[in-house]
Amino acid sequence: MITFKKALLLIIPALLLSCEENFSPKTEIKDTYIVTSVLGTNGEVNSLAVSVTVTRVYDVDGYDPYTNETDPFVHDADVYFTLRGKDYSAVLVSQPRDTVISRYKTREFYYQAIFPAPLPTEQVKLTVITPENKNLSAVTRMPRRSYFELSYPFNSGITTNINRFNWGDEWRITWNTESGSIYFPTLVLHYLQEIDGNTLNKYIQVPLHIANKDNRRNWINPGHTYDGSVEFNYANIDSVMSRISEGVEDKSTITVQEFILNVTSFDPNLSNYYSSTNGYLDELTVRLDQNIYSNITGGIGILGSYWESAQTFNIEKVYGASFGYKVR
Amino acid sequence: MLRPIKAVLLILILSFPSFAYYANGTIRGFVSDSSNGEAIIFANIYLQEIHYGAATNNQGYYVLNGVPEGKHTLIVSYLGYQSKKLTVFVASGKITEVNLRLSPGTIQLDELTVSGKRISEPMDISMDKITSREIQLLPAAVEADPIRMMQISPGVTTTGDVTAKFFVRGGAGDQNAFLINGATLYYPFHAVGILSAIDPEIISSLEFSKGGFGPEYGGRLSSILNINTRDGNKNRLSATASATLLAGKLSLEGPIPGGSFIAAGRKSYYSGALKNFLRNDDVPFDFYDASVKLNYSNDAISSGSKFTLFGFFSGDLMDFEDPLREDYNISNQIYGVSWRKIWADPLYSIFNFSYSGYSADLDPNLGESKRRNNDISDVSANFDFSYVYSNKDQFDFGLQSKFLSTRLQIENLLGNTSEIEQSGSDINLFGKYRFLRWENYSFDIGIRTKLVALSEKRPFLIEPRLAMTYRVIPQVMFKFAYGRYSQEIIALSDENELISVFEPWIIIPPEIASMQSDHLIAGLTFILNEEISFETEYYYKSLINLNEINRKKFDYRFRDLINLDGEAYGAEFQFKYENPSFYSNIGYSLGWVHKINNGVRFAPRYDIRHSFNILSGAKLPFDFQFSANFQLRSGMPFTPIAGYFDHLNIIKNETFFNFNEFLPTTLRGRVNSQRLPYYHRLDLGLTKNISFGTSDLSLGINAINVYNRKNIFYFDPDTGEQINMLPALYTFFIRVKI
Repeated sequence: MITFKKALLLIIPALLLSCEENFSPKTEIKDTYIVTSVLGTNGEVNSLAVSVTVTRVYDVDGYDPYTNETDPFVHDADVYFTLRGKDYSAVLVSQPRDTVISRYKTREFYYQAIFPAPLPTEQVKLTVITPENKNLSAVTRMPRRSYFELSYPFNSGITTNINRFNWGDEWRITWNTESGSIYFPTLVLHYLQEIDGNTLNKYIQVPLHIANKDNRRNWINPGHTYDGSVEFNYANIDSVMSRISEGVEDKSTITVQEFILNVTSFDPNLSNYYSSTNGYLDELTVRLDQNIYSNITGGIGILGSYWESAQTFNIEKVYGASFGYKVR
Repeated sequence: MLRPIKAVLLILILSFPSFAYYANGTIRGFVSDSSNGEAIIFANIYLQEIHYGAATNNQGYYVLNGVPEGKHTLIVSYLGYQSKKLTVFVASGKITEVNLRLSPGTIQLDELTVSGKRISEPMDISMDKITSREIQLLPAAVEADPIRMMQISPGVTTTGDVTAKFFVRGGAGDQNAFLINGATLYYPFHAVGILSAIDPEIISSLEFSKGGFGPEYGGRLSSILNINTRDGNKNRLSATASATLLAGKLSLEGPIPGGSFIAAGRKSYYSGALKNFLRNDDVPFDFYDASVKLNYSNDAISSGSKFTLFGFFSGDLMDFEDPLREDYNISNQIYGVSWRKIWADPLYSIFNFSYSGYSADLDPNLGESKRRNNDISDVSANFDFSYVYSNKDQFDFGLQSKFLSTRLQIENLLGNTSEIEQSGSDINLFGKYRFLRWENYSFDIGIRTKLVALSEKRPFLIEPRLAMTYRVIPQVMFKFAYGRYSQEIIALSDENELISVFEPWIIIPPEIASMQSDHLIAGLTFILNEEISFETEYYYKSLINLNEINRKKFDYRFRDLINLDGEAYGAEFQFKYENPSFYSNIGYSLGWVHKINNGVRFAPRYDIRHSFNILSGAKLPFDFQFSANFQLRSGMPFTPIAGYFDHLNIIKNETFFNFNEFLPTTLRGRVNSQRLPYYHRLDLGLTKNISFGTSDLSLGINAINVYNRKNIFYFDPDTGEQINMLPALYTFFIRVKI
């Protein structure tokens, strides 16, 4: 046992000296191209100007990628879209960048192509040929337009003065869905407010929930959903109507205009990408090596598309006036 | 289907005629602690004249069969107790009942140099029998923890200081069974795995089988942790109270007419004691565990019987006040009844009936977490028999049945929801014949056959199990074991989650094949004397149809689970020195484990190549006790950084989407292709015991990671920040026994 104790006496000081050591979690840099492009429409335009970003993998001193100040943009790529069998080349565009908030101090670059706005379910292909003649490509299929069904039609404008016994406490909106697509519903109140002789356009979103904590109210807005439905509590519509005049002495300076219901549908590729970059499991789980979705052949990144469907609702005059507002 | 069943029945039928045949006599009985009546497990029973002996089982029961007629000197001993020597008369064809009570103390009999324990023990290949002394010796960061004790056993690895979860010989965490009084405990942890839910105060025996286990165990590929709880003080009413920074404990035990009872409970009160374990230190951990056990014997009702009722309950609640933060609620409930019977023949039986329920719920409230819920209902009935022949051979057989239902509602990271609800029966028949008739050889030949299976794609119906030992010289034993194992229930644990709050159990879905494994183990045991032993084992383990979460399930078209194959192999060495005043356990293991996914071979995070551990404890003057534990192991595999790139960060504003913001992120290299630096840590503990009449007071202090080694846990994937495991920290505890 004496030998064992002696061994311990030798080992422990050695360990004390080895508490710190240099270690690098890096391996050889993998030269990879990243292509990013998202095209979207609401069906009311004839052509789209779509931007494409082509960048490369970079390295930094240390392990914090936020320290990188060199724009990884790839300048000499050949970029084009293919729609209905016709190619539309993209040109290199540059514009000043807000260097206060950006890590990169140079001008901002991107490729831009202009082509006819695709119709629902039409396929658009993106091809990028890098200066090293590497071919990257991806395809997106435009989502369908959403058509709404309403649990209460509000034919004479939005009001919460309805028979709740018959119609319930919530306004339910449903729409057609496609497998693999996610949807972002919003209901936004648009209004005008006169301040010091100026008329300002303002808007506020109707929340799904209002949570009370520490005498403060948390407004929880709708997130994304796979289901083709959303429900807004009439009490939350009332809360929004009240909230826009909090701290305003003369409520007649506010003119409520309309509620706009909007549903943005992402195609399955963009849906997967959004989920993989915005997924939040819980705050205790420590997860490593999470995959970011990519549909770029020959590299990584995303080519996605979205469609915005909207319906406008007037505000019933009596309802708007009950808050002291003008109603347009 | 019929063939294996017929074979088992044939074995049973052929065995029965010999039940009534006796050539010699039998000695059997129980060994208990005279101070409280608790069963003493693994005690040595030895017949001096014929050099024949045995060890008590986990109920304190022993049987010596084939004892020649006449007078014999029986010696019983156990470390920490005064050995006992008595004369026993054995009549041919008769059973002599000898119940023995040992007094705590350190007086040893000089002549007890070769004990009976050494004759029977080598059959238990890859088995660690952990004593409460060892559990108390291990310096604890928060609480003395029996499951942390597993982590120092050679062949057992862990992925960090934070979790008590462990991996045995290359098997995943859900391949370990936790049995408490025979019932399965599905979530044996508190506080996201920082400590176990099993209070060491309630433990009577703890057997940990790392592989090659016999046919009496099944349903898991890697290991069995079998915990038997204490019966309670049969002599007097006593109470124990103890406190640490984290939790308080109370236990009450005492005699009742015809038996005894014990009730123990533990409740946390200061979650700040765990703040060093997690990056966010405001997690409101709140947990409890409680157990109760009632024993009753009455020869007027049933001679040689013992009836036991027990319950075990644990719960973890994390209730954030903020409605935007999620709440967690996890609980276990176990209710059980057992009937142990010593029959007129040398037949011993145990009937266990138990219910084990588990529920885990993550409620996101109004936050962005994903709702997840898992419920398990497990009703088990086991009938186990053990018959000892006059030629010393032993036949163990039994029927084990389980009705299991699992329900899982889960929304994964990518927003896809799944609901899996399954139920089924699992009925197994096992038989094991132990050839103990030869002095230097022993063989276990057994099978476990499944009459009804839980999963649809089950690979085989018969699981052969073989074990043998050969005593080369009196001090050296060669051991060998082979076994085939299957598993039909899995925990959906993502190995990318170093800390995980939710690991739901499900029956393997019909589209996925059940897991299977073959164990091949060989080893040598050297026993120099009662104090010094050395063991070495070598293992190979095939891992077929492992079930893993499909991390590339981006939408509904992809499967939730995928099948992988793999294999594990390695060598283990363990040296033990143990006497009443000093204890040392030195272990080293060398291991490899890899998995293969679509032809790509990769190492899981628990593939630790080298692992070295020394646990030592010594009694010091003035009733002080000192302990030290040193761990050294090679670093965990990790996926290296292969560069950085700017990825689109989609921002949803109130009325529009911003598709122009790019954030830097890490490009990962080949999965787990590099390793973190070596891990090492020294923990020290000092305890002072003070006696006041019949009461005892213990005061202790533990120093964890005394030289503040910055062991790397992981690198933050977003910022590259190095996150270390536990820093140097100090804890203390106080325990009062009245």
